[in-house]
Amino acid sequence: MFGYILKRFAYSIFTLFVIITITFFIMHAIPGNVYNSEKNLPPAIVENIRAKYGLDKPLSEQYITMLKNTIKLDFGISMKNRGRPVNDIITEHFPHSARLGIFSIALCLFIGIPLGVLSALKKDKWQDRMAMIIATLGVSVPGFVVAVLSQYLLGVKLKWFPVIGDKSFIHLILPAVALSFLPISFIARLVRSSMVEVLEQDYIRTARAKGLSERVVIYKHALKNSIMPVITYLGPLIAGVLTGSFVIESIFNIPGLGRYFVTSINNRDYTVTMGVTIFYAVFLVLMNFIVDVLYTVLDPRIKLKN
Amino acid sequence: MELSREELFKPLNKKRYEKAEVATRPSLTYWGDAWKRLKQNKVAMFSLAVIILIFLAAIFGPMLSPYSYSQQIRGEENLGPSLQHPFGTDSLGRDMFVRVLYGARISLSVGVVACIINLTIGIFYGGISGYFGGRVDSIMMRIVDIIYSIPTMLYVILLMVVLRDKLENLLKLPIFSGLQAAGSGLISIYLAIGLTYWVSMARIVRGQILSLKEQEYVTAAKTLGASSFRILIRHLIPNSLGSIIVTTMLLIPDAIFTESFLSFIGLGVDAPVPSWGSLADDALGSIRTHFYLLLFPSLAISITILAFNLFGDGLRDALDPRMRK
Amino acid sequence: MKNLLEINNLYTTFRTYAGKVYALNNVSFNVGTGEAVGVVGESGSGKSVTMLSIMRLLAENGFIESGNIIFDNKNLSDLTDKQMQDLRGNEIGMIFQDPMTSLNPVFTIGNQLVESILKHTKLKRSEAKLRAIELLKLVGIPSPEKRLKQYPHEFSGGMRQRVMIAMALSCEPKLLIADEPTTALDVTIQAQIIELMKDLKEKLNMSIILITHDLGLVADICEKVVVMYGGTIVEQGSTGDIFYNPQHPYTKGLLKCIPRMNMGRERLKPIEGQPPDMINPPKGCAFVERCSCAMKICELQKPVYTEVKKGHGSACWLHEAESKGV
Repeated sequence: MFGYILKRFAYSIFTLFVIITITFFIMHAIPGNVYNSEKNLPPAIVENIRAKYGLDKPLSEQYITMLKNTIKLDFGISMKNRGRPVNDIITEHFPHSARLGIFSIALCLFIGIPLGVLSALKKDKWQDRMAMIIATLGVSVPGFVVAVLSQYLLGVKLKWFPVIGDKSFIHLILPAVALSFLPISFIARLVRSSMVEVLEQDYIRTARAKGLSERVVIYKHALKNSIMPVITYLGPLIAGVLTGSFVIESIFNIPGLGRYFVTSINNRDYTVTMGVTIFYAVFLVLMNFIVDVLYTVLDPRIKLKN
Repeated sequence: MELSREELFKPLNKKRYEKAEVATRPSLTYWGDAWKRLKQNKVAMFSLAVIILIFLAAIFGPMLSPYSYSQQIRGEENLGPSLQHPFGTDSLGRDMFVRVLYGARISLSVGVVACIINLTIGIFYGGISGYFGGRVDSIMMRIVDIIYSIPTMLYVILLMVVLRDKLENLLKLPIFSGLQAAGSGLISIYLAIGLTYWVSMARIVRGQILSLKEQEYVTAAKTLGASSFRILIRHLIPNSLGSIIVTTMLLIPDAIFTESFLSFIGLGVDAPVPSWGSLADDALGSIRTHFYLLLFPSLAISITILAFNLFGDGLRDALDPRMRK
Repeated sequence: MKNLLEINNLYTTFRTYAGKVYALNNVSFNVGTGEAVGVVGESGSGKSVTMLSIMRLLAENGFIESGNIIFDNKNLSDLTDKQMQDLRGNEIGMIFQDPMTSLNPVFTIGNQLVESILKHTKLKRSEAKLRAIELLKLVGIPSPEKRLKQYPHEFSGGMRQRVMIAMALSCEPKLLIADEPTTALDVTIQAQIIELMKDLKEKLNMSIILITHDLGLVADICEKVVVMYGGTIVEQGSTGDIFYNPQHPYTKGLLKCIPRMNMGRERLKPIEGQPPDMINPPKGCAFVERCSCAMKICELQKPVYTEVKKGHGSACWLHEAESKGV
């Protein structure tokens, strides 16, 4: 098994390397520079700035420099907010995103999985149909629509929830729900079809023939097998919550990294965009790796194969 | 006619049983069968009707409207829904109804173009990989694996940023004058989405080709007659095509969503071209006072994506002989 | 010999989208204490459905329309779900056809064995583990202590079936129902499993219902044979009676189908035709289409079960005096 983990780790590092390289070359393909929004600067000043950020050196040199810096975890200084190190920006804003993200993922798992199980158990009855209708809506209505609508209806009109910021746990409810609506629906559908399939398996019949109570048959024998696909979905789930946060944070005015990221792109703040992209990439690759290992640990059939 | 006890014990004439065995249900072709199943699925049929409606509205709607999508009418700003302006007007006095209809054009074109690009690249790439197999296949699939592990949204966003600026300059060239109308924003969306989603298509196509090849060898080994080969073609290829069609179909709502998302965060089409996402974004500011400005674009996005998802689901149930429910 | 299990006039149906499937029509037979009964018939004849009806493990769309099942003097239809659960795996053990898929892949063998023991006995976990090891030894699995911690995919087909038997026997059941236990295994393993079952039957005075389409197995281990076709019992009797004095045309046909070592160039005689449609079952005898002795009455009325001697009878119109000469 360790060989397998090592292999996956090496693979992850390689993927990271590819991502960083591609990001670098994409960023450099942009003809504009940070001052697109502030036009009409005297060329001398533009030259100065280019020299300062090393933008006038040949591409290959810039690439090596960037790689070196990345390993040192030095992402440079923001171009727009001169003097602010990118690392500071990340460390200040990421915790907000993290709180929202963790809450979201918890919702996804603790609502999505039970919903899927319920649907499978009450297959074709009204609970199933209701749940699946909501789930179908969930995968169709875009997160930002849910966000804005819930903000308006539940926050402004009904005043049940606060609409701005993330000062407290209650503040996080609307944004987290908006962020999780799609993944919850997806997980519910996934668990449902997985469970339906599992319940038809021979070993479930064996469990019943052994005289085990229906509860044990479902919550011990069936459930563990049904959860497997959810684990494989964890990777895309985390990625989805991360990208969803761009929009949700903007709508609910949460000072998270996602909101900052979008702004930096629009401002052509090269260093911030680059730094945050790499940060996100590392984060996601790491998460995928952990999920991979988790899956290996949980499914005994894989343990031996590798 | 009541038979006597003696008669009852005479031997039975079993001719009719022989005939009965031969007569069976008329066997349909794979497509006929699938179409029949699809027709029975009321939800899918309703969704198809909605999709057709949206297409018609997108194509003919803006033509029939007295307003153009960029036309600003002084004195008619921020009006609520009325007979003259069924969806109201925005802060610049533009008719929302025609803007939403025009937005349908944007979204649908993104769906269709994304489909075509992904299908083409996917079939090409997957086809080559599957057909050649061996080392070529391994290498090509390795590349696919790596691209697959790159967070999609991140890449679409970065691509958008790059393409927009580059295309802006490129489109100034006379050769591309026709495309200028669409705007660099829209074209970059076409490209960005097309260049990212082909990966899953390539995988599926390759998988199908590999299994097709396997079947081919089996047939060759069995040395069946030519007619059996034709039967295989009639069943195998439609089966593979089935998966490809369903995947393509379900790609459309995904693409529409991505476009809305990008437009919402400001990375999509350029103003004043109305994409539903950008309409929703514009409406954010006046959400408390003019809720309808947000409502109609949001409804439009949701209903469209929902319809495509439901139809795609129905298509998958119809084309998949295992009838998964 | 007292009857451990009595099945009287059992009718079982399934509700499907295509219509109501009449799976069992008037099935009746008994199993004595310590007796092994073989149930033979083709696929679809209702063998498995009968067993699932006994265990009340029919799918959600399956119903016992009428008839009763008496086990150990208890009428099973009177029992609650919980009471049935207490019976299953405890007094009645069941093993299924495909050992490859009958064990849960994500739990260890030990876990699955101990689970059963803990549910039905008052043993502590450590004691249950010891019992599990004993059972594995009983069914002939080497190094049982190590094997307890292993997963199903680490066992071969034959071993898995032995584990299934161990599980079924873990609470010393009065009745063991074995649904084609050796069909998915190769012949040498098959012999071992059957020997094991014979051994346990003697040691524990356990009754066995052996479902199979292999008449050779029946001859080896069973005292009584029940022949099923189209959801009904067409003939039943002692093993000797069935093999040496078969009454029903179907039984005779089955026996002719068995290849023999001394056949030389003689051709096998299969039974022509297809099993009947259970959604629209025939009005008369289910076998009428394929019977070489079919008479007009066979098509019109279901034959009555008639005994040719005590304990041996069949459901066939050929018994009637008027049929002589056919």
